[in-house]
Amino acid sequence: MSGAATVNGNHGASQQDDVPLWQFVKQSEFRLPSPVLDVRSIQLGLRGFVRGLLGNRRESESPLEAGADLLALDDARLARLVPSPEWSAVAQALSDHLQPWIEQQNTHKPVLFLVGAPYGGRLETLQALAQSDPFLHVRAPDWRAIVGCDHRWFKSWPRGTGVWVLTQLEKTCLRRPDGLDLVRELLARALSGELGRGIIGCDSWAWAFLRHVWAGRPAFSETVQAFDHARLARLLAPPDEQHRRHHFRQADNGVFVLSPPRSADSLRSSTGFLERLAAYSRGNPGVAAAIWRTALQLLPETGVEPAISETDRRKLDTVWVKPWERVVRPELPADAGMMEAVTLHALLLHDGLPVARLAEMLPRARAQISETLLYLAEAGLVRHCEDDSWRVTAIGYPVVRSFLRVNDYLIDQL
Amino acid sequence: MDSAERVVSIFRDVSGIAVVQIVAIVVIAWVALLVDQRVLPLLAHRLPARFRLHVLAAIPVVRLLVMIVAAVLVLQRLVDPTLENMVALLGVIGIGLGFALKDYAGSLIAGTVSLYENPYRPGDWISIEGTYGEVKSINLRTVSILTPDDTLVTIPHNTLWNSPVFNSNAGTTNLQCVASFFLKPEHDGQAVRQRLRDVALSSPLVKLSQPVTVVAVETRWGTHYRIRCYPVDPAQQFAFITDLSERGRAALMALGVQFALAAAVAER
Repeated sequence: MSGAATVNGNHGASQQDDVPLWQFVKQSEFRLPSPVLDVRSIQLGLRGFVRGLLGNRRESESPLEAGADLLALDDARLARLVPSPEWSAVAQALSDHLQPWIEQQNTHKPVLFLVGAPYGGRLETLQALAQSDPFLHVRAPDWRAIVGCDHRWFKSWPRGTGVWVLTQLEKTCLRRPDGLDLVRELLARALSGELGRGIIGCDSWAWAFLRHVWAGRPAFSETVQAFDHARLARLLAPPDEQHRRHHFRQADNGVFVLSPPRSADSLRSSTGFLERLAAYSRGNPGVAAAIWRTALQLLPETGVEPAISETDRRKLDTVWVKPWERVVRPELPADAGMMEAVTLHALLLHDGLPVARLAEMLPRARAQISETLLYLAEAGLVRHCEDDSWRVTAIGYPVVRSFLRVNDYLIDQL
Repeated sequence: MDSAERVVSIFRDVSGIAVVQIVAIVVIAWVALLVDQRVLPLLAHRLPARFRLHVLAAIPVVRLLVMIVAAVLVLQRLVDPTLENMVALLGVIGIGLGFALKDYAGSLIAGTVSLYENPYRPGDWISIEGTYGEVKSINLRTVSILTPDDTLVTIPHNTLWNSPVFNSNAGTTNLQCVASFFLKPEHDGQAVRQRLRDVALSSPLVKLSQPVTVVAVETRWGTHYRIRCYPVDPAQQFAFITDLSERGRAALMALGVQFALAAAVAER
């Protein structure tokens, strides 16, 4: 069980590419996208600075007419242009990757862990995997069972020859003195083989925390490899709709950010946008897709290029991508302090929590926690979900992680 | 030529230009000191803890450098810098300090020594002669400590010569905090230690990169448990200890152990 599992990109160009789109690797083999873009941005910045000093202001290179108003895309259009990955296919790739372990009956590894950063696709992949044969889904316990360390949860464990899947280890513990016993019991039973063979998914933040809680330190952990710019290009490329091909060009200079799918060589982004996106999102596909969505714009009317024929104009649908510098990303409020930090940290450790649970963990009154959450929501850093829990937003995740890192809070390793 | 005339003779005839230069040097030095004293602390307190301490520690060093440079530049314009002249001048200054300003000079020297030995830096939490607080500034003669009661205590540096200085974090962000629990002896020690460890692990203010330990000692009234661990930011130490104490009390009550409050108070 080594190397990577293959799931081709959503579409077209990836078929020519041997590199798998979704790669599952050992945690020790996780590599962040290289931050090569910094050099390029410095070069571009210096060039602009010198040009400004010399008074040599060139006319805009954009093929857009000066003053052209670009519009943000509506949700329906975004859903078509940036569709979610086909999780069943990703799950199949994970299943293929784990096949040697699944077939091994006499194994010293009764349990495997799949660790992933928030929005990294780990949860969706395992949810899809748990629905397929021969896997059996294990539901996380109720919070009362967690604080009561209710062992009856283990009695409902699926029995049989199949491999069970617990998608969220982070939902089996709560960061309070009485909220850690059940996860210890679970890990002890699972790693001893008492529960049979299974796959446990765990959020990377909870994983970092549980290393301090569980002295046994389970070593067999896999993760989703970070997406570099080339694989991001394939991930973000939309499907070709009938008679239409989408082109993604940078609004200020017209350069293709995502190249036409038939040109495999030009997958590399010449604007540097994708390299920056990969580095900023730490190769996290969910975070990258969220930022990508905010960067897309359209002219009120498509077909702005005078040089192309009417026929081509009908076929072409150009989406204009904001330059990286103009992509609006949330920022921490300037006065963010301890309360904001502990709230965000608790949300990340549990991959989202309702206010009632937060109030039992944080050293503040519930009303104050609610105020903090609303304040952070206003800044675009957290959102209220349908299940009444609060989560850090995908687009806010990089800045939240950075904020917690510089303030010495425990952070994940992915 | 008597000694007074000899001292006077080492000074140059100061021209108008030199006076202007000296005034300019003094003004520039004064502005630089003002920036050092006012702007750097403001900047430091906007930074995360790990950077804050470095900026704060640079403040007295920058001040010393500014003053040395200013003094040298001014003396250059006042005195012909021959060996003979410098010896005579330093001799006069030495006699003056020795008789009139002995303690003041002792504090100045101790202040300079403190910059090299670093017994305390701005941002450190120290205890000198029973006064505990955060070092807010290191001045030429004194160190200013802000206590948790919001009282600014000014202590001369020459206290260094014969009093111990207890530094809780020594220029780092690692400041150990201790929360104590006094229990009656009838309890399961292992369960209590595990639960107290979980109390520390579950505190949102704990710095998990540092060790968490629970120690116990038997006394004649029962068992004294201590959680030793570190907050993410030294400035949060009191909030952290409060949080540990509240969590610990609730967790131990849920465990059904009994507190030895009266005995502990008597012991203290």
